[in-house]
Amino acid sequence: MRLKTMLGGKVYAFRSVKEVLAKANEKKSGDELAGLAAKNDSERIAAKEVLSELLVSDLRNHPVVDYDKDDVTRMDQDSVEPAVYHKIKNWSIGELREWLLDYNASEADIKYLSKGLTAEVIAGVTKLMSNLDLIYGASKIRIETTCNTTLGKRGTFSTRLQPNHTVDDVDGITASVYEGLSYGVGDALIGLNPVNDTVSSVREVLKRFDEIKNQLEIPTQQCVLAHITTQMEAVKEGAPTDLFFQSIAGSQKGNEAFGFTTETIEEAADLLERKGTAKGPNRMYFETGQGSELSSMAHHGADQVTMEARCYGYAKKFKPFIVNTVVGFIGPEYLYDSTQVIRAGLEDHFMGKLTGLPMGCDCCYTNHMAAGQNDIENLTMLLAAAGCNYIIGVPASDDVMLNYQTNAFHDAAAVREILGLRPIGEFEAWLEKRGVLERGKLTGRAGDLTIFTGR
Amino acid sequence: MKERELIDIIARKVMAALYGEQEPRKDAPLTDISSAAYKANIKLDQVENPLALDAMRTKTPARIGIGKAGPRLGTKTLLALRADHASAKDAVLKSVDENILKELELFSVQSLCGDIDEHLTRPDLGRRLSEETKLRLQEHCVYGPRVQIYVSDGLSSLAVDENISDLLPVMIDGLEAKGIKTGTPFFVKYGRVPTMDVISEILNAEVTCVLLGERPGLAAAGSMSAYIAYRAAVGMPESRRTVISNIHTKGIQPVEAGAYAVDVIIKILEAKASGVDFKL
Amino acid sequence: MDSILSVGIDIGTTTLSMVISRLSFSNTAVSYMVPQVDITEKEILYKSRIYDTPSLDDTHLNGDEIKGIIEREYRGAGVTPDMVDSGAVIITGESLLKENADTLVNQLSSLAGEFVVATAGPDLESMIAGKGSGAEAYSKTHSRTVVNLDIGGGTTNIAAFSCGELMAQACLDIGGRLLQYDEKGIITYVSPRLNDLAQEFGFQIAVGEMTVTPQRLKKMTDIMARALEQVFWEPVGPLAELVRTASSKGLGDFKVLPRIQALSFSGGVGDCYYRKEENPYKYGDLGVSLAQSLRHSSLTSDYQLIEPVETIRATVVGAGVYATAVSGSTIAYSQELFPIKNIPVLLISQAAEQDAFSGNHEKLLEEAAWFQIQTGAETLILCMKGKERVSYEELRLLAEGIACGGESLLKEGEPLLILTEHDMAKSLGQAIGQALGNGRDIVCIDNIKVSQGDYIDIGKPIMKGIALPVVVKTLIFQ
Repeated sequence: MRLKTMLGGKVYAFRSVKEVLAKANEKKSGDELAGLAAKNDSERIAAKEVLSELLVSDLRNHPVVDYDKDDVTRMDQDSVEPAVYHKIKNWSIGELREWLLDYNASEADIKYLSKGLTAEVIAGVTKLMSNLDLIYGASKIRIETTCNTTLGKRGTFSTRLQPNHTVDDVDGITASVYEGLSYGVGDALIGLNPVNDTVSSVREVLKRFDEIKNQLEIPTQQCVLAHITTQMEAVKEGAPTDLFFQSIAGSQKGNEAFGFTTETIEEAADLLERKGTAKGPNRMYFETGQGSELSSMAHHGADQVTMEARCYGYAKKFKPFIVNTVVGFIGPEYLYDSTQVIRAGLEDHFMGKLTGLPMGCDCCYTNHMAAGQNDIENLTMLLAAAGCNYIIGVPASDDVMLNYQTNAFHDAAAVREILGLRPIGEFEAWLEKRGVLERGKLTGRAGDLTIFTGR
Repeated sequence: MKERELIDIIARKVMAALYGEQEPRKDAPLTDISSAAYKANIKLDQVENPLALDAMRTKTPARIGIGKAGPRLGTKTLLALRADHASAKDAVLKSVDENILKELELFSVQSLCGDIDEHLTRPDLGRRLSEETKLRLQEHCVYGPRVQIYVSDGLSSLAVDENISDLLPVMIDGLEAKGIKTGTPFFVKYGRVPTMDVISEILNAEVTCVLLGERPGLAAAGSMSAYIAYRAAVGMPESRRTVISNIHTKGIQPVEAGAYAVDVIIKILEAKASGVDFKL
Repeated sequence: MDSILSVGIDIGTTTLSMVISRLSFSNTAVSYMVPQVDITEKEILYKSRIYDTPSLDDTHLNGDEIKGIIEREYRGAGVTPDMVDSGAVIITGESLLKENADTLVNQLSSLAGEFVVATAGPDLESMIAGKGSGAEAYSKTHSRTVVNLDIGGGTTNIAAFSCGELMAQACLDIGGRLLQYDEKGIITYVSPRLNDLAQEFGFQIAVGEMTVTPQRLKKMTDIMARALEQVFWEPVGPLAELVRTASSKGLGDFKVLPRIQALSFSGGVGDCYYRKEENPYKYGDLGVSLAQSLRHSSLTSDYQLIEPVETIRATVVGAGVYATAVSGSTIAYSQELFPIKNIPVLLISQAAEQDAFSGNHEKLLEEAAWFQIQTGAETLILCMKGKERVSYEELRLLAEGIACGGESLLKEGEPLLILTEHDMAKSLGQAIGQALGNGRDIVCIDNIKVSQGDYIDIGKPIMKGIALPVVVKTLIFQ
């Protein structure tokens, strides 16, 4: 294992695989805040070179958190299929990159190979990819999952309708749901981020979503993104939900900071199989985002891309319906500007897809970041080109409850039209029946939220 | 009358006869792009149920019923969004109005952050004070107050500009009327919430309350919160803070929030606890 | 969560009934926000059967029997008056005109519980019946304009709701029991309310002198139905004007409504309407025939008819469930003086309010003094709009003005009561306390809308004292 290299006459030496991984990252303010980032671009490139010559086995054998201390590491390592791993363990990370980009690597080949990769290997190869590499690589892979409808088919581009409200007023939430539906948004999910993480409030919203879904006969899925234990209580009390949501982290300590354990997720999955309203088999919804481990001091000295890859290694065991990276939510101390946000979005999408997950992205930014709506629209186009399963939609890009901006209801239709993409088939038929969509374009009636008031 | 003036008059009369009376155009009163009035005008005019449109728009602050251009946002919607984003960014990047601090007789100190960029990217430095700053606070402030209130910019200096003149005096006078003396108020530039823990320790305050600008959203760039803790100490869990947020004109107005904060502080003093250990 | 029991008692022209409901309050704000107490659940626990309203004669209600019924129903429901924290006794239609109505209703309200208010007034009843019928909720859920006509024995209470908001309310002297006859069809009673309309019938009606026939019944009730149709004309039709209940003010408001999208009938006649009762003689009055006339009227053919949740019980459910409101959750009161009942509302003018905010409280004092002389009221609640944004300076000036007014107008020991529409009661209450500097009690609440002429009752604190239940009402007996 070579941990040093020369660049411009200077020798760069690294103490560990973990340090190589961190310093090979593209510049991120979060790695700088953690004191892990390369001091300058030369050191960054030196680390990338070292990384490119490390073997798949080197990264597998040096997980950034100890196997004994962390169930995320254990689940990821234990899921590796020995036969697949055996074939590639002596590939360098540079070779792995070229193999993935090669014309000969088909979607089936990549999905097969994926079974031999750990999170650290996936993070490693990502660090060697340019932005277009990440788009091209990801575009080869489609991950389909089914809850009530099937998400992720090639040629589709879906949306989660996010009707958030400042005080969880059910009628106000309903108004935003109608608005979104009238723009053809909501085929992946109608899902609320609640203000009140209480059983009664969550139950009330779930009931309303279920009523809307049934009365308007919308082929989609619904959930409320409260803490998983709150959702479980609501379901035990008879509340209807298609999915369970939880934010996850790349370490056991991070997950504990989120207030759940692996047993919690297992119990939730079991509960939903018995009492959920969806056909399945995929019934979980996970959210991730670079930097969340550092914010709870659960990063174990590892960089944020590697920790993010570990979230995916953890998520895959539960066969989620959707996984969503909330890419620019956490603030400039983790992703400083548009360059970093766009990079992180492409990294997360690629890593998730390579892990075998149905990746979507909340292309978002806060008002204290050096980013704006133009940057988020750029990222959206890049991700749609990369085959991202879905994006978020809120009224006019302004989420009044989370106080950040993401995609507007008005974005998905334009992106679909430009790239020749469609919503999920049944949902498209429903939109046509409702007169919102005609031959892939929004009609004059689209945007009139009152067409649903007679429900 | 000069010939030229006469020609002008005739020309105007002829034009008026040909094209109708043309009054010189007066400047219409300006509408603020970030105002509620401007946004109220961004509304679909042809809908199936106009009544429902109006009713639904009152039920959520979200921008709904706004219409479209092709699949995209209308020009006015786009401009209103950009205007609000500009206000929000300005609220983060600007400095607090020195005149307001002067009027309220607040002296200023600064966290370890050297500039706004460092403040945004290094929350760890925003939590800390230099030794000199600590000494300065000890020199200028009453030691061991029952309640120490101070002001900080946090992520919105605009919140300080817009709220503090009404919020701070209501709290100080309100506590005074209940027989509770407050410590010497001051202002901390580039402060974060946990800076209050350091301040509590060096001034030995029983209750510490920071009035701090929140991360701006598009709806409100100048929203303020009051974070209150009993015997705040460096390294204590976040759950020990009691928070009153959403203090701004469209949330809870500052005088009312101040009066409420007075009650909360009194109850915290009685309970000798704050945060999750303290139930209102 | 906190809950209280609320009673509704309706003494109508024809029937008498009672409901007991549970109103649950909770703080709907998250822990890091200022609290916001709302009524979050309304559950009806008990409904009495429908009694015939007991009378002694044409001019007197049988008070003893009514009290007996209520006491019996309380026992049946398993509640005692001390368990009941709120509610309303409402007296409507013909019963209101009885000579002993005033005394009886006030006796009943104290019999029913400490904070059960006595109320009446035709427009208020329309709103209450509209809410009780479910029309308000329907209009909200379906984002529609819905009109409910509560047609009882003596009067018809009409209320319009648009997307959950009350838009118009009025009362007409149209009811099923304005004329009564015996088994032989001989008229036994004609209400004075019917006098004006009787001119239109084309035949004389008088007690003992005429025998009703199906044709005559139809003739009469067709005209009554036409009067109801004319409420929605623009301008209001002459028949509707003719039968407007004397103290009802809102008849003209219906014509400014957005398109009416649905209609419902409640009350006893509403009940006959949906049951499709055939026998016009069944109750010995006009009720069944009026329901039939309505079925053939333009009200049925021109509008989408919806079936209300409550028909005959709409008013009593409305009184039990919808009479109580909650104050804002940042308020001030110096001590528990509650319940406070029958406080007249002094709504000060915008000009006086503006002046007081800038330190000139002359107008405010003048208006308060004039109000006291006019009404002879010992006490009053000073009501104002307030502002969305008040500066500290304005707050102090206003508080000084109010404190000064309170000192000069109120007797010693009389509490100073203030109500603002905007959320500013806690800061105003604190500032007034500082301005008064003496021990006078203060109650300062917000988030309640009132009109000139209203009265207010304030109940005991809920949710650990952070909010107060409030009933805004009209008093017909003064």
